[in-house]
Amino acid sequence: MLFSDLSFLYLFLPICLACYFLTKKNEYRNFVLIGFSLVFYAWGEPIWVFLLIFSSFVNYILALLSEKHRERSTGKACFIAALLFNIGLICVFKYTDFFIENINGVFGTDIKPTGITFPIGISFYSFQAISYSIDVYWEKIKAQRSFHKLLLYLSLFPSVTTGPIIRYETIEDDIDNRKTTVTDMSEGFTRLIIGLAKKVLIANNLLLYVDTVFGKTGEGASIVADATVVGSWVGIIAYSMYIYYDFSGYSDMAIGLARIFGFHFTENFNYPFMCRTISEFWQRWHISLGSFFRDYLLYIPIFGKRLPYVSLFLVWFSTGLWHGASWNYILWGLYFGVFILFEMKLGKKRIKNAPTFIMHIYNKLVIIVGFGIFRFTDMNDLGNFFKNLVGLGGNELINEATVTDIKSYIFVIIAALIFVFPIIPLVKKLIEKRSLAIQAAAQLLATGSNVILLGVCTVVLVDTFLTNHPFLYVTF
Amino acid sequence: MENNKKNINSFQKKLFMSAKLINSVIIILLFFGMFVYYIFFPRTTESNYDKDLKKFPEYTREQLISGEYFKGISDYLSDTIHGRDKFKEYASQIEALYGIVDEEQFFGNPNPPEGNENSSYTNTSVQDESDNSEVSENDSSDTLSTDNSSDTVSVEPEPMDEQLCEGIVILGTRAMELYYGNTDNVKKYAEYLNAYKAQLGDGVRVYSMVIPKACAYYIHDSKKFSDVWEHTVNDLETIKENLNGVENVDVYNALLPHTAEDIYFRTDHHWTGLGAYYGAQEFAKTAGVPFSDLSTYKKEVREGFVGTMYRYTNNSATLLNNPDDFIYYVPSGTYTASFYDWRFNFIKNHDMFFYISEEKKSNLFLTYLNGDAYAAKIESDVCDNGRKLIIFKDSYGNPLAPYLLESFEEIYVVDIRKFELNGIEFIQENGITDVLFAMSAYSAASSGVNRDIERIRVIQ
Repeated sequence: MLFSDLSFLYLFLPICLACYFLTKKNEYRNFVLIGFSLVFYAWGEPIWVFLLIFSSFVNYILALLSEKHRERSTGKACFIAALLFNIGLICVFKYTDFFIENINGVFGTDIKPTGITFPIGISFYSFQAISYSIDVYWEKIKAQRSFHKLLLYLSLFPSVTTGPIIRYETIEDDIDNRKTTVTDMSEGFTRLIIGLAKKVLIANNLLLYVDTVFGKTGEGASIVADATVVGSWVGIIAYSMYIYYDFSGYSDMAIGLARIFGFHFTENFNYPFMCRTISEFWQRWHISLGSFFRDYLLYIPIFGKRLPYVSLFLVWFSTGLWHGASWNYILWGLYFGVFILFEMKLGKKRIKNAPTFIMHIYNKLVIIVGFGIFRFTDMNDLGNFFKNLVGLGGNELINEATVTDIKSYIFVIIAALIFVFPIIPLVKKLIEKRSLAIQAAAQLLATGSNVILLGVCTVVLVDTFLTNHPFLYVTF
Repeated sequence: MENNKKNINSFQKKLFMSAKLINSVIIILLFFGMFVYYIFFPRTTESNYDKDLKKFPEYTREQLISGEYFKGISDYLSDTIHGRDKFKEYASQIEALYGIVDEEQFFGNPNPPEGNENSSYTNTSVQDESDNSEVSENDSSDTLSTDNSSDTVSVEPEPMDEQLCEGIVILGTRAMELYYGNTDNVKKYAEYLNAYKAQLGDGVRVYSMVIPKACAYYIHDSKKFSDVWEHTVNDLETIKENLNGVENVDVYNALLPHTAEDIYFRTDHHWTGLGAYYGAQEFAKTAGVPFSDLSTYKKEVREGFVGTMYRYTNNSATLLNNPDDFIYYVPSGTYTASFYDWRFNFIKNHDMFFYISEEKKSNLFLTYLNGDAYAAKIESDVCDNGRKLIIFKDSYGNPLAPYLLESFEEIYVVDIRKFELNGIEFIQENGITDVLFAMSAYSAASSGVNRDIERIRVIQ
């Protein structure tokens, strides 16, 4: 089930809200949320929901043991077992066929792919489980004594399929002591609707435009080759915007939903295109993944600060690989690693002194071209795309078809470009400086816009529910 | 003073919190209101725009395990939401705001299908044209001497007569399918017709009427596809050159002087009643039979017709906002029309025009003979020249019969894709003097329809 499904919005959510708020005590509410989270997950993955429960149970036991026997080798063994279990799950379900494919390619063998299906959200909930195991072992948190509470943490429906990757410590207190205030409710719903609009009105339409230019992913080789130079540039800019609106829209919905139930998730995006450097971009983009690698992977003893370059590329290799079992994702991760190394070598002082304009041109080019690598899983398509970007594909600079395509989505593209700037926080800040009466009036205006946005999204979803693209990160 | 300030602050705080509460309450009410609407309001069972609505999925263990069962439930609920068509209409208005709607819009695959010298429709799957229309009796004319039945007829889904190309262009307010043709297939088409002529001999005249798609006339101003019309002309020429003993009805040139008139729908893939009139006129000229002027017909108009192209352009707002008038011409002469199944077993009498309800208006082309649901026999009361005609047709042939009442004593109308009897024997047994193959250029260029032409000739 997707957050942008009508069945989620107008079947699952109302029933869940009713059951949740008709239940008085947090203890029981936790069970309500676990029940609905498992239904939510099972709606799309009726079999793999048992894997989710099993994984939660294994992590629950191993964390308890690693905590109890921390001073002994048994504790370490349990900790390592938890890591191996979680990483193993991801490897088996996500990378087995990729490994086989590469072994066949390199050694000329004919090992048959397993065809194993990829359980939705496994990358997210397994990473949450890893962070939980490490934090317990590092004594940052106490192991959860109640299995159902750990299950709630790992299966909570706002984050289970597409993140953000929530640290246990973030919601540890909320699990037992949360309370939904009027502000939580109001902000939560507003955030949910903004996220929905980002997905339905902007991301989905940007993807339609991108598919017009490059063809649908995996089947557009000839179309990529035919794109004009201008078409390729506008197409890849639109694709970058699409990824941003798709994923940040989902994160907004997740954060909003969690808040309605009294959970306070950390932010996952902070207007990444406002960055001055590539390093800063990654501090603003998919924050929960970046911080995961920063906090855990960089501290692996054999690398860490003793082999900084090795650990740097390990992080970016992992970041790329995490996104998918395909070389283009690995290339994409390493590509960013190179630029981050470049910025490290350049030094903070030089970067600070560099003209802002130049820095923005530099990082936007790197980011946008990087999303080209992200987009094209077929290396021929990728090659054609790069040729077209620099005019080596022998294609026209621009033609009428390019203009027509851009015009057809021009207002969506403009809206997408406008809202990458932090306009909403800026307006909020301005209003917060005014009297409470004005803030109340602004809140009523926001209510009006919420109603309109929800109405428009609903109408569009009735029309496009069959072509409503799943959130891209669901596939990761 | 201090107290007053505190009071104002406290009041404003309450006001602010109230605004937040109002926001929450309104949105909660919206979600719960939509829950009731989404689940408990009567479900849409028929759509004016989409043929098959999603059905509630059948439970099987495999479907459950794969997740398809639950997905099917979601799809069913979304596809059959109460007032679905209204939602779709609003959506197309919203979607028109995403950008500047160009004079020319394109939908689908712009390239000819691969695998043939200039294109192919050989592998294109046949799509359905019309839905399960509930078609009631004709109420458009009371001058007809037809024994109308008063029942309501349920029409099964029908295969499309010609196969829709994946590419559709909207130029201004007109939607057109792209026709790339297929030289090999149209040669075969001619050969198959020649075989009929050879077998039937000199006593029976055989005609070929290949009706161009709208792009043959209206594509010239396209930025990307301005030369596509040539494919039609080339294929028609190929057919003409390869006919042997079969008489060519040159519809292309007959329609050419009338392109300023409404000879093709802008929102549907068919030609109009007026286009068919000019086509029938050309046929009558070729066959040397009398033909009535259009002024002798009673003009019937159904406004607000948005046909098949709306669906195939993903509900284009351009088409929705610029509907066609569906105009058909009712002959003044009397006749008896009888309808049969595909083995020519009698089903009922009904006049040639069927009334399509307002709810099913996107299927107005079914007005003619109820689409491709039946074989028909029309006995004219105003012609006694001894000539009997059979029309082997796709849906483009449906509007022809009403114009030929004064030209032939009997007119048989048979769908080429469905007929289950031997065509040669049928022609001979019924004393038919004229055989007209009337179909769109897509059908003539389609190996599937070609096979049907041959199938009917040899079937036992």
